[in-house]
Amino acid sequence: MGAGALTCLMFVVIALNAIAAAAGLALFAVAIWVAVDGYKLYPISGVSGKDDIFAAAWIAIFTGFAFFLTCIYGIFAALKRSRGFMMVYLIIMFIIFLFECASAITAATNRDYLVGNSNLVKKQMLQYFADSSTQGKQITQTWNRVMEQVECCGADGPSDWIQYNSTFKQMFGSTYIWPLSCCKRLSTFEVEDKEGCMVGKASTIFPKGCFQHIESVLSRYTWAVSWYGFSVLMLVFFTLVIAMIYYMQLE
Amino acid sequence: MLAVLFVLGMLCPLNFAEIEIRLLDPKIDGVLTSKFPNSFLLSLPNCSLYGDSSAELLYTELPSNENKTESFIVPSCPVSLPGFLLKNLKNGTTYNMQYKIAGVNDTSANLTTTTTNVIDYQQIDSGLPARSGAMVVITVILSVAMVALLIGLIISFLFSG
Repeated sequence: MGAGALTCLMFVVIALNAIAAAAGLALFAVAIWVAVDGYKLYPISGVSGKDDIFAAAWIAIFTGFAFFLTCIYGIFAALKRSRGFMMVYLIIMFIIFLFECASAITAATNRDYLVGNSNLVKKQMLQYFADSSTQGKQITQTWNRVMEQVECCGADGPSDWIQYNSTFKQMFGSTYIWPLSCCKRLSTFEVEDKEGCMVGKASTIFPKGCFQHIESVLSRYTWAVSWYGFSVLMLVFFTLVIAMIYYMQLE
Repeated sequence: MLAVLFVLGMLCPLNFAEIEIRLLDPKIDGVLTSKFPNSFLLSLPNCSLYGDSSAELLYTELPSNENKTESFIVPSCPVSLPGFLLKNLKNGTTYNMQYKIAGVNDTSANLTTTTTNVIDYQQIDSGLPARSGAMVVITVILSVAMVALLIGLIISFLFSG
């Protein structure tokens, strides 16, 4: 390959590495956002033992930052026109690529387990809401917050509390049919009509289910890690193919 | 003729004296449902006729024929609650219910309904429902990419120099 063409290829490698470094840093930032869990829904996946969306986010934090550092090294290696440096770059990039693939695939698969349909979330709610164990307290707190903020009741609706047996029914079933978090509240946080809500007056209770919100949040986290990770990986794949061609052209 | 009219006139108050008893209807009365596993939501006796009087709800559990009574005060108009919640029933059991106003001896017809059954939450199947298209696409494309990169690395290391 002529010297001019090799220089051109070198610039392409440097440009792609610069873009990949920026993309890796953005992946690092997005994965931190997922790990921080601003919607505070971690207990729903943690208690069920299927918290790999968050595990994948942690892996993506490390691989995103590693992509950033290694791509900067790659710019340096390409400028040096050194075979040894390029070989090290290629091997390290390949290893990081493997880990990031694992992260993207894990997040996508785990999302299907958790929120493919409302069964797992509903069963967990019926089992752990109002339970006095540590997991019970976490689930109770999470569900109370979701029901009050999103203005919903139960997984698919208030009928969940009627159709199924639950820990809540065993403990409070003689007084309450559903938790008071299902009731509409005034701006002072008092229940608007406690007697009406306890009886099921439609204007005092939230009729929709919370599953849609939970599903959309966990999907948002998953798409952040898996789809954005996937797009970074496609860019890195393309960069590595060009880098391998460049490596083969070096003497 | 006059005698017939007198007889009819005497029968009329008895018709008006029958209290209405029914399960509340979600579409008409603005409630979520009226049949629960352990309760019923029944219509209250008319507040303008019986407001502030003490009433009794007599209910019998079939098939054991156990008789029970709930006493309450009929709320006066305007009524805030949509109905009367009869609690502490057994699930999947049939009950006979009847209102009776104390003192005036007005009664309602008999209402026979069954409480709903509960499903145990352990019966809910929380296994993997289905694999989404996104997951399949990401897995397949990334697996192919990993293999392609590995082959590319091997080729570039073997066929260099």
